[in-house]
Amino acid sequence: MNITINNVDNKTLVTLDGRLDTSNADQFQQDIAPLMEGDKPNIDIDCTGMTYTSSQGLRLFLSLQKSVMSRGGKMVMRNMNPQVKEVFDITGFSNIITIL
Amino acid sequence: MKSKSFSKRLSRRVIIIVALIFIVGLIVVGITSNNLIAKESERSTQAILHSTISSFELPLNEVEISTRTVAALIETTEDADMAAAIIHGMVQEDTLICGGSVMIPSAQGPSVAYSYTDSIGETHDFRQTGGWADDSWATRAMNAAYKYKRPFWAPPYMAEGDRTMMVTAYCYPIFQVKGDDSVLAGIVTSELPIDWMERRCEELKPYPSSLTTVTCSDKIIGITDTVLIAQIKKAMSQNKDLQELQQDLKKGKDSLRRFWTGSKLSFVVFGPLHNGWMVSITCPYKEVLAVTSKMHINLILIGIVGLLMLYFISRQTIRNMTKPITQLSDAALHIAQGDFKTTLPEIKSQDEMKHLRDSFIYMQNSITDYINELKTTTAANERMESELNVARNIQMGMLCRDYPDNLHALLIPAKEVGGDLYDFVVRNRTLYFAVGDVSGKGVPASLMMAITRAALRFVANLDQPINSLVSRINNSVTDSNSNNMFVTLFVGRINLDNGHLDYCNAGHNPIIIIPPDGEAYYLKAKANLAIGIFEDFPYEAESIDLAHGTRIIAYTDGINEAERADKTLFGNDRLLAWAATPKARDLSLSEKDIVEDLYGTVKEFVGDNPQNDDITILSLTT
Repeated sequence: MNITINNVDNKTLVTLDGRLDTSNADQFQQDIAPLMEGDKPNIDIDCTGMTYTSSQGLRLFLSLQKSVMSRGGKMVMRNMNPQVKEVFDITGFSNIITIL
Repeated sequence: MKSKSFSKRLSRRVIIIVALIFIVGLIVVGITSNNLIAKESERSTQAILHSTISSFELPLNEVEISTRTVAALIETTEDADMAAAIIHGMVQEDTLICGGSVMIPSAQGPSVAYSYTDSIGETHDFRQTGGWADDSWATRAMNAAYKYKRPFWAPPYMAEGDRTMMVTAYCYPIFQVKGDDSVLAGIVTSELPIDWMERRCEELKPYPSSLTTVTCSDKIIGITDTVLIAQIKKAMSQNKDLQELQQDLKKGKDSLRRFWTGSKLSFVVFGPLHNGWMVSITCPYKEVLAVTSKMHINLILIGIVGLLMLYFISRQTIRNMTKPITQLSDAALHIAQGDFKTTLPEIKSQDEMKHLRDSFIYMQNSITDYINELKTTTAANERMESELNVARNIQMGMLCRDYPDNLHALLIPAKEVGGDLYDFVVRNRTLYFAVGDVSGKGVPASLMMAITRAALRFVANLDQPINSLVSRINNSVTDSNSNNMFVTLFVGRINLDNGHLDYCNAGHNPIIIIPPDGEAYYLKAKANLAIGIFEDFPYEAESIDLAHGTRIIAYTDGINEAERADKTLFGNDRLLAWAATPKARDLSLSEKDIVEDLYGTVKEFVGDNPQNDDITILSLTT
């Protein structure tokens, strides 16, 4: 799982690439730690390259979403491939995370 | 095979190198010393030759002077008797001359007056006019005088009379000028014995096998070995006759030649007497170099003894110096066998050996520390493992095993404990069942599973709409979830009499419905949020009427996300394809058979790839 984080005009652009599974979930948690800080974050996650996410991955997206909400910010995830989108749909995460 | 010791190998190499240097040195010394000795020997032999030549010249000169004097006297007299008397006197008085003659040519042949001293010192006279045979000495002397027209030395011949000795003769022709011609008036000869020359030749031996010879045209004084004479002559002449050779020598050309006799190399030095005879001394190199050969043998012996000593000394030295290596390697072996307390050899020198030993001690200490740490860790791991096994037993004990005929379930955690769960309760022809999956795996998931399982059990007894039950579970789990974990859960309640199914899917995989007469399908459900995330989330329930004999397969993502080594997932399509098989809808098969068949299918797909998520399958029939 490769993650790139860029701050552009008060907006945080995140690009995800690869599989997010048990083997790299801990690393991913460390990688997104910067996103857990700051007031009123505006996070835009591009999921074009993300091919799979495990339930642990889902948990991390959930944590991120909750953190963003508690800080009064917003977060969107875009360009999810159908398999990943399906997981978000089934678990009902589509209800709480803005997926474009 | 026993390995050769380092000291042996190293000292062997040293010896080989030193031996090579020694051999090369020996060859150089051998060649140089041989050359020096040979040169020196040749020079000294040449010196001997020169002194020999001088000693030979002296009597010859004396005889020549005497003869010339006598010839001058005879020239002044016309009287033959007087001439004979003069000859007699010369022979008697001159100790060197043992015989003499005067020859006067005449029509009948030469008229000769000859006197000689016999072996007891008495002088005899002899006179003859004419009647000489062609090969007589007198005829030959006359012919030679006519030919040479100057004084000459006759080749050695056996003396006349009772004397058994070789003599040579100096012939002095007397010429008288008559008009334009000079006419031979007579010849005066003086005989000189050459036994002293022979003796001198025999005595003169710079080396045991040396040969000294005097060559006078066709005769050689000194040796009788004809083969050797031919060799010496050939070596001296080199296709030149003696006269030419004498010319060369007078011009200062080299008077030394080398020649082979069989396998023996010899050298010959030679020089001319003034009468044209050639004196030579031959020496074989073998004898010349005998002294160096002895020296060389001594050198070789010293070398061999030296090399042997060097070998043993260097071997011992190297062995002493490398002793610590042997000891350290023994110590390493002991350490390898588990004896970490092995004492290492003391090394007093401050060199690489000391460094090696220090490194060894460091290694020994590191390994000891590492092993101790490993022991502690292993013990801790073992303890944790045994605790996990207890936890697994507890967790498995939470799962309901009291299967009714129409239901069976299987749960296989990926680790000792897992986050999957299932539950069922049959009450008054109503079957209440649930399948759930906690996000993540292992101990954290298992604790969440226990919480969820307890909540499920609690609400199962409540007679409330199914979405209320899920909401209660959600609130209960959310309350005790500070770690953003979540649980996907499918809860269903089926009326076994009429096949009416109420269900609520909280973010779980859709269950599979296999109707008795129709295609298997995924049961669509509203996308309710997984539980444990938001309190009071409005869960919605749905319902469906199922025909009698409909089979329901509920499962967790351990099935559809089972992964092959090539990262291919089992997937929803394969799962549905399995559900479409006649076997899956075969009601004569028990639910246990169905569960095991699905599990077997997934296992077959996954192959050797390790299970990476908890697997749960629940099968029931209406």
